[in-house]
Amino acid sequence: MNTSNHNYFTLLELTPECEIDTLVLEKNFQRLQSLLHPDRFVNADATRRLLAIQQSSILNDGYKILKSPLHRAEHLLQLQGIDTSVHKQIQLDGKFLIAQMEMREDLENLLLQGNAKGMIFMQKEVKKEITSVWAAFKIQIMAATYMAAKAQFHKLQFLYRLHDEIRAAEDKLLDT
Amino acid sequence: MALFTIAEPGQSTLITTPRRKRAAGIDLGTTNSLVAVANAGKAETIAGSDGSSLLPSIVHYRADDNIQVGVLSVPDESILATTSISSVKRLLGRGRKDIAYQLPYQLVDAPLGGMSCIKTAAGTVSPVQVSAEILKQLGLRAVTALGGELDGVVITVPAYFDEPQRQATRDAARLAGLNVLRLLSEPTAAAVAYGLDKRLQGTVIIYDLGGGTFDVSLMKLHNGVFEVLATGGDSALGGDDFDRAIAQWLVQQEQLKNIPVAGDYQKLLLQARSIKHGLSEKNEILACYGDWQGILDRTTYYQLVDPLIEATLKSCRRVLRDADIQIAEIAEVVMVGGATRCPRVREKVTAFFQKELLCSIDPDKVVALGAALQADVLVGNKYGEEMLLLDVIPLSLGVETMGGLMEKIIPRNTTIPASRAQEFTTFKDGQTVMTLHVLQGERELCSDCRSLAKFELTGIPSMVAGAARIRVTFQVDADGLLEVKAQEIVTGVNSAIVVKPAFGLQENEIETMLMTAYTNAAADKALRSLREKQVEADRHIEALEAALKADGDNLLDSAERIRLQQSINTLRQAAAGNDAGQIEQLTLGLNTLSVEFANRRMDMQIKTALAGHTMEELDHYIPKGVND
Repeated sequence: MNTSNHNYFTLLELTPECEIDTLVLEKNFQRLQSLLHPDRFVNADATRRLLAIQQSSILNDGYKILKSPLHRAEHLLQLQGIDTSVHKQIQLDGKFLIAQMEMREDLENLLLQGNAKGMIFMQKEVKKEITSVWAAFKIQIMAATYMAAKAQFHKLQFLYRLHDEIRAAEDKLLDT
Repeated sequence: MALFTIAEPGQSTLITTPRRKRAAGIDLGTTNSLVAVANAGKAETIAGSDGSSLLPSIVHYRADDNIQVGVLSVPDESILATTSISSVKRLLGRGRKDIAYQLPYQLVDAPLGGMSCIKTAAGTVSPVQVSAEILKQLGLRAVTALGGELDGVVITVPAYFDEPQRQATRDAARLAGLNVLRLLSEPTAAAVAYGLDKRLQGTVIIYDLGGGTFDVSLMKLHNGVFEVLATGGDSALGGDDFDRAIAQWLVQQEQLKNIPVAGDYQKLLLQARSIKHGLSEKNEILACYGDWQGILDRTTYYQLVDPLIEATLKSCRRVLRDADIQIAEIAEVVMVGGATRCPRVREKVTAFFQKELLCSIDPDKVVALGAALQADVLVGNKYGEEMLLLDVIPLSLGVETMGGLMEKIIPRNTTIPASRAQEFTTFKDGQTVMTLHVLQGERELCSDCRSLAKFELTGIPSMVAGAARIRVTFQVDADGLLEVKAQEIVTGVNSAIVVKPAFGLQENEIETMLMTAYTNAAADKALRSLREKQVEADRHIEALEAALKADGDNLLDSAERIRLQQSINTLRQAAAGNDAGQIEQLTLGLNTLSVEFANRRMDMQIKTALAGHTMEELDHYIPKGVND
């Protein structure tokens, strides 16, 4: 996701926190979208219609970002003025990176072997890891130690990417 | 627009009541099209003078410029002077290379690529014009039913239609003189009909197999909000393909003695269709084609169509995974489209979702009914029911980056309207021009994606490489139509170009822009192909000349040598020109001519290599596979 100048929490009438009530998010989104959507301005003039497209797009974007834990985490950091686009200022711990590389190698092997069961097991492991890193991220945010939170966020990025790669690999198995 | 009406007698003042707006929903289908109108949450389709609401999507162009829409066949005596166009929806926004099957009419390539046109007895027509004829006819039905000009229409398109296909549909409506309130996805329209009429709620699958397109949408329905979670499909797969598979089988049985052409093929397809319908009830059907007569039984029939059905289920699986939804979470499976009447399709879809299928609304009409309900709301006829439709784009949008790779800017299944910006930079010092190539598709390589437009951003201030910041903004409206803007932001120099219909622009400007955009893209493609041919020719000439220099004197007599040299000269001359076809042909010619020379060289080289070696040695000397 791009860096943005919007505070999507405020826009969707939520408190900026790690955990949000997704039902409230959905309800607020639908109520606001009902008011702003271009379908409400089909007969309006061109300027108004363009405005509706822009506002409705921002709302769609915000909804998508807040729904996803990873993008929500990123947005929380951005709201604190933290640049999430680079890992540079942060030294990720070596053990984590090595484990990540090994998991990717394992995934390649599982794909070559056509081992679907192994992939399901690996996906479970990744999800467990995500839960534990997410918990650490939450603590750092609450303590307002944002640079430490940023480190956890980059770990989450790795893990979610791996999660997606496992899914893509599973798709490949299914399709052949 | 409000009409002034005079109050009932007895009332003392003049009051104004707004006229009820006239709106219609149109399902522009591959095989059949329909129009429906709605009033206070109830919709109905409008029948034509023949009493049927299905208007066959067939347009006949006669040599005397007479155009006939919606009749299945023309009288025999006029057949020769008439071109009948069916399934034109498959050609909308498509070029020749997209159409991988036989058509009962002739295509004419657009001069520089782009949308293919159709050769008819009344001259060349574009698929947009043909679709417009069908739309006019449907519009007329609605006007008659509602008693006046239409204020607006909603036209449905397959969810899996890409940008050029949607654009072509909108253009056809404009040509037909219709005010389009919205292009709506067909599965979404069907969901609206079920949602309002049958109070459908929860997470649902809409399985829509029409004559020529397949769509599947996974949607969440909740209190008048219709949210598409993911969509997939194939805009060139439908019930017609079942007929085509049977037709092909018939031709094979006859051992290809009669390869059908144009009109005959149309007849063969109709025969195939009736066999398909027959097999819904019977276990086998007696069929004949040419000299051949025989039985088509269900087992064979299943072998023909099962791969097609499997392809649709694969799309279903992908949609579920895209939205991260399990089959068990699906509340209902809604069947839409005439081809879902096929028992084999129902059997396989039921087995896949492990659920009874919902088909209580006529699968042929449900899309038009939903479109009419949406049209009625959009045009401003309020009746208390708030409704919000949140559609997605079916295919990712992006731009070409270094190395011919596609960089996605808006990924597929993003809710529309959507707007995304991305920054790019220059890669050369002092670069003042940047070319933007806009693409749609999921593949990594640009050449595998659909090219939407190519345009140049000029006037970038001269800076060192990487210093300029060019912000490219993609904006997709609620119809799924794209607008791209590019802007250099470091110096605040405002160089922006819009390639797609922009608000505030004149219609003709938009058209010219679109045409140029399309033309440029095609011209670039042609140019690239020419360059490739030239490089290839040069490579051949170089290699051959080197060989001639080395062995020409030993291995060729003077006549042979002169012939080769002449052939080289002709190719060299052609390669300096612009005729890609000629270059290719001459390269091929030179190749053929030099084969003998190449063989002699090979023999000579082998002899040289073998001289003074024993057979045993050779076993080590010759790498495996060389003699294969």
